Amino acid sequence: MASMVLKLLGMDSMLDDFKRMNKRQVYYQVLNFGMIISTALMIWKGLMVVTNSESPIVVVLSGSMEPAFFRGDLLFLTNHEAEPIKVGDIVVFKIEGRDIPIVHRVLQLHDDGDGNVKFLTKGDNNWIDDRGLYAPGQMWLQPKDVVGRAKGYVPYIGMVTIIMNDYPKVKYAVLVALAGFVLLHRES
Amino acid sequence: MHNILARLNAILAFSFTVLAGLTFLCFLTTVAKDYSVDVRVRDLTGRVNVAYVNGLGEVEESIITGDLEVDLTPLFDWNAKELFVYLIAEYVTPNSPNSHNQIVLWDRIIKRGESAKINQKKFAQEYRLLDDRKALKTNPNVTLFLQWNVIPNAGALTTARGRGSQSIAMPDTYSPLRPNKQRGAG
Repeated sequence: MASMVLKLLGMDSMLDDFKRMNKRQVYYQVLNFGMIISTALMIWKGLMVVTNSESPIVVVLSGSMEPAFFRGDLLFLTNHEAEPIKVGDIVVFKIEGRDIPIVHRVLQLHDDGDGNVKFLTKGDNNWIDDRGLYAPGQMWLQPKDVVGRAKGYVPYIGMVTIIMNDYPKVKYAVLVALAGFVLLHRES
Repeated sequence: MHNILARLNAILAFSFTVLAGLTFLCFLTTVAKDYSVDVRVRDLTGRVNVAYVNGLGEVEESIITGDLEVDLTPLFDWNAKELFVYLIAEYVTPNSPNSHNQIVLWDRIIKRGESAKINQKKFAQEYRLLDDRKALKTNPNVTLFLQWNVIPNAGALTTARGRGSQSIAMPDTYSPLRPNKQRGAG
């Protein structure tokens, strides 16, 4: 029975492929796998350089910007210093002592002209500004707190990472399946 | 090579490619669009007073009101999901010419399908206009303008400024902002 299912799914021939490989070919497959991983990393690093943001793509994790952004939507960020932060910009910022960055809109901004910029944020879906979210006693954010400004938007796609983070078993299953496929499958 | 996994893989890969291509076209068709329209901000009046805010101390606060009229209907194309419209008060702190201050006074979310006409007589401020110090009294030039953020179905998040703004000179005396009412903390 099990072998029938495997055969139906084409798994049996996959393992045959692997058995038929010699040592050199196995190493080659492992290197191929490494190549795919490093390509992904290089694309991420490249985006970091182009956007000047430490995290060029973020997933929206809360509903505080609804109905603009929902949980699981994807945002593209840039953080160019030549482009100053303005009121109405959607900024992603970090608060001291909190791990998860927050995506909110700039509500009020004061620039004294000598390089000191401070601003206050608020979520579109929240009733009050963010002073209650900041570190105790913190009244303003500064440009150094900002990870990036949202410039592009794609819905739903980030749901994949949310599901993987909520259910680690799914993450490992997907990783194992992908690794297995890349290692065992030979391009003909 | 004609097993279920291979077929599923081909179907999934093809549909994702098509979806990604269509989404990208959606982005391309609207990326260069000019989202600016004419706005009328008129008949502004303003008052100034001192306010005590926890964490800021004694600062100056203003209330500005006036009429606001704009029709944002033409902005809704097939890639516009929502408009986030906001009214900004902008001013320079006297004696520091390079400074600038921007404060949102009022905002509105207009979702696709809702009426995109705004006609506010004597608009009511939603957020407090609090300076971080005392730059409001006798300030000769507080400019109000309307701006909006177009949130697409997928693509670029664009911000456009309405054509037309109005400036107001703030009074040189303090006057009560909210008579007979306890002022809440910031």
